[in-house]
Amino acid sequence: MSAWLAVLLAGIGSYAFRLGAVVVIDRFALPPWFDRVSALVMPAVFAGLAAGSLAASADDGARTALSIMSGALVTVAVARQRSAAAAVLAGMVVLCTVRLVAGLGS
Amino acid sequence: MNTAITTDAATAITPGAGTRSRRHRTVDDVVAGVRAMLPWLVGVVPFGMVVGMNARTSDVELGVGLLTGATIYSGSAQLSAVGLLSEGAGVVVVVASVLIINARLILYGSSIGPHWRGMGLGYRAWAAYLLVDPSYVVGMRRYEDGSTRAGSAHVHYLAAGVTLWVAWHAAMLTGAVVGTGLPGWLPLQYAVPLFLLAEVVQVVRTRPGLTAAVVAGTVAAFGTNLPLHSGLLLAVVAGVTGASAVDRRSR
Repeated sequence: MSAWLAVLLAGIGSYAFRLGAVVVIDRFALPPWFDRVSALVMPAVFAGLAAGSLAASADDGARTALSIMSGALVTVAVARQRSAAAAVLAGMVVLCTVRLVAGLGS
Repeated sequence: MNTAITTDAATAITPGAGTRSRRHRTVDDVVAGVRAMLPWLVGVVPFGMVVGMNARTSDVELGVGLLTGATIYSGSAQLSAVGLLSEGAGVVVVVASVLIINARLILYGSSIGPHWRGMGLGYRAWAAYLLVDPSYVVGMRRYEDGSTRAGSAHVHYLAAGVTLWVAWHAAMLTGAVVGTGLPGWLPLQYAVPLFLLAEVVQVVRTRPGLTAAVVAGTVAAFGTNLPLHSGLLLAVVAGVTGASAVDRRSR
């Protein structure tokens, strides 16, 4: 019973986090600095999610880290010229190739 | 939801043709929203299957494990909740850990919320329910695209969010029933981080934006072992704070 209650309360709290900021922002005039700061959240979140996830995987060993760094570098290089999808495809091909050459994931 | 879409001069001049074209545009926005979410599903679906399998193999009732999807709706927080419940943790500990992990949602809401100003409470209630990392990223990409009408971006966000929600729950159920079964030679878990990396390269156009990305990325990379997955929250706060300081000094 307490497990159901915990999940329900955690869900209500999570939803309050999701909706709370949206509702509060809607009721007040935003100061000029808010737009500037808010514009910085998006690149920070994107980079934080990417780097955190890749770094956690790289903990698996030097060969895994090498494959991830290779894939990441190629993704960044391709993304400067092409679409994000093309960049990911190129990065994944390089990452998988390095993993196979390094004897990982067989 | 449709109120912001109805303001179009063309539809006022030719009602019949306008209505049809408006409907077509809405369909286009829905399709675009679904398509924008597809790259995420490559990584999200295997993760959802792991969460579902974890719900089945833990000591917690399967119904409780699966309910975390509809209520908590955040993979890492769901894993934490089921793990703690499985170890016999109390309600307060479980709720506190979930809320700490999900504290980043406040930042997401305050960032995307201004785009929903003027929309009805119904839209904002549903949009907020669907708010999580992938829907935030896909939604903000569209909202920050200057060439997009606001109404179009609202439809796009909902379509992307619903796509993610359905895929997440389908993946959880699949994981709970048949397990994960991913081949070892196909490391799909890297597809989403690489996709985000490509997005960072393409969205960062200013020096403060670059600073925010570099600082947040660095802090997140070194903060992977922080308790309760607080590394991301810390990274975003550090990135925004550092970039704001650089921005102030340069002006």
